Amino acid sequence: MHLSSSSFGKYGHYRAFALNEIAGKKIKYAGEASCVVCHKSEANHKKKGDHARLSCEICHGAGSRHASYAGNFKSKNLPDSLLLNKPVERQFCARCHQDNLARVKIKCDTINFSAVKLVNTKDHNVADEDTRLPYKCIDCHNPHMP
Amino acid sequence: MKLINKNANRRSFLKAGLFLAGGAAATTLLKPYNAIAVVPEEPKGEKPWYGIGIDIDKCIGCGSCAKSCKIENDVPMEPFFFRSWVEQYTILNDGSVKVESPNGGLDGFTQSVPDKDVFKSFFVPKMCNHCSKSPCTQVCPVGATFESPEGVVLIDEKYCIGCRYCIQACPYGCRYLHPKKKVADKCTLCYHRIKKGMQPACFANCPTGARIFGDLHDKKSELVRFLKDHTCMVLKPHMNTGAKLFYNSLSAEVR
Amino acid sequence: MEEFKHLFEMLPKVQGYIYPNEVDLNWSILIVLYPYITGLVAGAFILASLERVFKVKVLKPTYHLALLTALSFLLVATMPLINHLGKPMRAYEIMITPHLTSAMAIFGFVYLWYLMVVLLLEIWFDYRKDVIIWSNQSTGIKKIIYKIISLGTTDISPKAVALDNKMGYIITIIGIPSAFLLHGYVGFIFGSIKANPWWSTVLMPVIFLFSAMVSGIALVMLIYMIVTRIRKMKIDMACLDTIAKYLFYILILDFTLESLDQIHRIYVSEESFEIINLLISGKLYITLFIFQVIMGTLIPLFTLGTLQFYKPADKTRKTIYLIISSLVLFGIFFMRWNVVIGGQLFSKSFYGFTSFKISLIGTEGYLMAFIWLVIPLAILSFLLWLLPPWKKQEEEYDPEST
Ligand code: HEC
Ligand code: HEC
Ligand code: HEC
Ligand code: HEC
Repeated sequence: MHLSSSSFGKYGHYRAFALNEIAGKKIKYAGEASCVVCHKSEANHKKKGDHARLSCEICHGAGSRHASYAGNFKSKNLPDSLLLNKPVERQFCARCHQDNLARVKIKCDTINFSAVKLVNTKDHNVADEDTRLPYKCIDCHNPHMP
Repeated sequence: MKLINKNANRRSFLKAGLFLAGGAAATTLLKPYNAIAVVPEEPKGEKPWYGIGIDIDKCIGCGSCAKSCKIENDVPMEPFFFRSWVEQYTILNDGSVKVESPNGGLDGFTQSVPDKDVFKSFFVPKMCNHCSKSPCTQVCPVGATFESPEGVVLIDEKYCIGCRYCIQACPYGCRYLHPKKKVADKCTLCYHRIKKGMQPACFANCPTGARIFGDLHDKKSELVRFLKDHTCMVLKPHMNTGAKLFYNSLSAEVR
Repeated sequence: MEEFKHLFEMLPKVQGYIYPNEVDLNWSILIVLYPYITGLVAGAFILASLERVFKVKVLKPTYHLALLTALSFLLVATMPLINHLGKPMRAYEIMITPHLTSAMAIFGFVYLWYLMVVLLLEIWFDYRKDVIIWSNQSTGIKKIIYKIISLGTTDISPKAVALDNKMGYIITIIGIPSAFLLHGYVGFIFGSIKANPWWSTVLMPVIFLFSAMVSGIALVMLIYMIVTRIRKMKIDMACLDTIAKYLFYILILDFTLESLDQIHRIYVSEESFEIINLLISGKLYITLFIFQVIMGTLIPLFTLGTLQFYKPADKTRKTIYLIISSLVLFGIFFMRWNVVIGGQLFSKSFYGFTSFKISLIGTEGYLMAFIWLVIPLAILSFLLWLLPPWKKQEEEYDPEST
């Protein structure tokens, strides 16, 4: 019960404590800076490649718990709850790279300017021509340095 | 906010007019241009005053923002509750407008109209505009939603009575009733992150830099430069909500 | 999953594009009831004050009935609102930290003012003398109740009674603007939402006020006929005719205002015009055109208009009044429905519609709504038993003799 909250009206017509309560929520996305500490090689790759602007967690998911606890498991056997996903399917890259007119902008003279390079994932190297085995995008592109 | 109040002359003109018409009492009572007489003015000084810029040209509709928002803020995963979502507008050659947002864009988009029929198409990420004259805080009967000193519109979930008046009052559809907590819920601009000096989740997870978060008071911030370099527009300007979410290349079809 | 079932069922019914948060309708039938019930209160009170302040003596038989009706509905008016809150236990906050820029925050005060200062006081002064007399005549529990109601006063000298009358008169005079305030203000709750073009019109408070009067008058008319029938007394036709006359006039005003609003909308044809046009010709067609306009307004208007210069036999007139007042009540209910529900059916993006479905049971179902409508009638029956207007002693004129 907050019959008369002592902080009500301190800054305005609201409970000033609410500010701290909201500010105190847990963070889920730790941010790239924290990943770099342990994953130097991936980070170095990424820095040089076209995915430099992509935060690790766009692809690997929220990693705050992973970043704070993974250090305790040097054995490389992270418990499942701490594992981050490794998005290997073609579908995943298509989220950003699939041909879509909405991603194409016509700007001044640059026809088909777009913030990303687009391919039609339905026919861009779908399967090996000889073996007929389906390709994943990461078979040819390093996700960290495409 | 200096940046958007370019109509200072008009304001003083209006003031003079009111003075003549209604006398001194009227001018002190009615503040022109501030629909909400009691709303806090934009604080002057060094304190940050956050705003948002979104570059529609750069948005590729990957939905990373919508997805990371739901995860970061424990928003219920059902497709009826969104703090941040992406809309795809497709203007067809026959002039009709098609708007879609399957699951708020969380799972990405696929073009549903054959290329030959498309006149133009683009994505518009939506989120709370953190209005400085926000209609939603104006109507809250108890003071459970308010504007923080940094210009972020927040909800006190321990104080909200769940009357949903604010949901009705938001012109942008940015609020919902939290199905478990039974209180109104909305974007906090990741207040818990920005207070620690981090970017809000949707900004940190944008692959193309289409979203720019920054301090409108800091004239050297990326956001202020963005506003300077682009012709930006807010949504529904006629509502005079003092929105602090500025879009570059906003099409007239977007509502 | 179970708890979102109704929302998932709604998804395929969405037409065009709506903001994702708009699938769920936030204000449902309980919020329809709220303006409906407050409207009945305001209307009934205004009818009562006609008799008192404007000295329309023929309305005497309905005077106390109208006041008691107003009271019994007012006692319930807040219940649907509180019932609807996400956190009902926090409702008190609206009284301790009212946010003055919010139209809703003031409701608690307007409500209390109206209940305590206007209605309760007025009824108390009106009944004080009779309650003292009745407490002397009755025994048992009823005597105790009367004793409590009289608040310990015993003076029934002509001087004291004259003071009662004077106070009642003053309170009625305060009461009329208060009734206007109460309901005009409810209209403002909707009219002030600039985000919603269906609500946001300056005429909203005025329209709400007049429709409130219409519904309140119709309600008193209906209750008067029913109560008299139950008491097996003769219905005072002069009184009914006068009520009908007022109903007719105010209905004209109400209809004019609402038409004005719509004509203005059509003529200025703002950004929202297309979607509203689709709304009223589609989703609201039945509730707006058939229920509200034709059944609730045009039919009563023509019938009452005809009765102004052609008067059939008493018995026919009684039947007509019975039907007309029910139709008006029905129509005004759907007027509230069209405002509250209609305003949420279209998206604020103006690109599409959601749909509305309510269930029978549950806190926001038909049953609950029905209960909130029946409780005031139960309260009214109790009040009529406790404070029967027809047993009041009248010095100046006897209601039964007119
Ligand atoms: C405290 C050090 C540490 C930090 C910080 C850290 N990790 Fe890890 N991470 C590990 C360890 C240890 C492993 C398991 C051993 C390995 O595979 O190298 C691992 C494994 C991984 C894996 C592979 C999981 C798998 O299924 O094989 C991914 C992906 C990953 N981390 C991503 C991240 C991201 C993204 C961040 C930043 C949010 C991050 N890590 C921060 C220590 C860390
Ligand atoms: C474009 C999406 C993307 C981004 C951005 C990205 N990764 Fe990865 N990462 C992947 C994919 C896909 C794999 C799986 C590669 C595989 O299995 O061969 C992976 C694998 C990994 C692994 C496991 C490597 C292994 O050998 O098992 C680690 C560790 C990792 N990433 C860390 C990072 C860190 C740290 C960053 C940020 C600096 C980052 N990733 C950014 C897509 C990405
Ligand atoms: C979240 C969106 C996103 C995802 C997911 C993503 N990419 Fe990218 N990718 C980008 C962006 C943005 C760029 C361009 C960066 C720039 O130009 O600054 C890019 C660039 C590239 C390029 C370089 C194109 C060029 O020649 O300039 C390749 C190749 C590529 N990505 C492949 C992949 C593959 C393979 C995957 C799946 C593992 C993937 N991407 C997943 C956003 C994404
Ligand atoms: C068989 C190997 C292979 C596979 C599998 C493959 N690519 Fe490529 N990709 C290439 C090569 C080689 C190039 C550069 C030549 C070119 O432009 O076609 C390329 C170019 C690209 C480019 C840059 C296009 C441009 O216009 O510069 C993108 C983006 C891309 N690939 C994305 C993907 C995605 C997404 C997938 C998975 C759906 C994928 N690739 C699968 C070999 C592959």
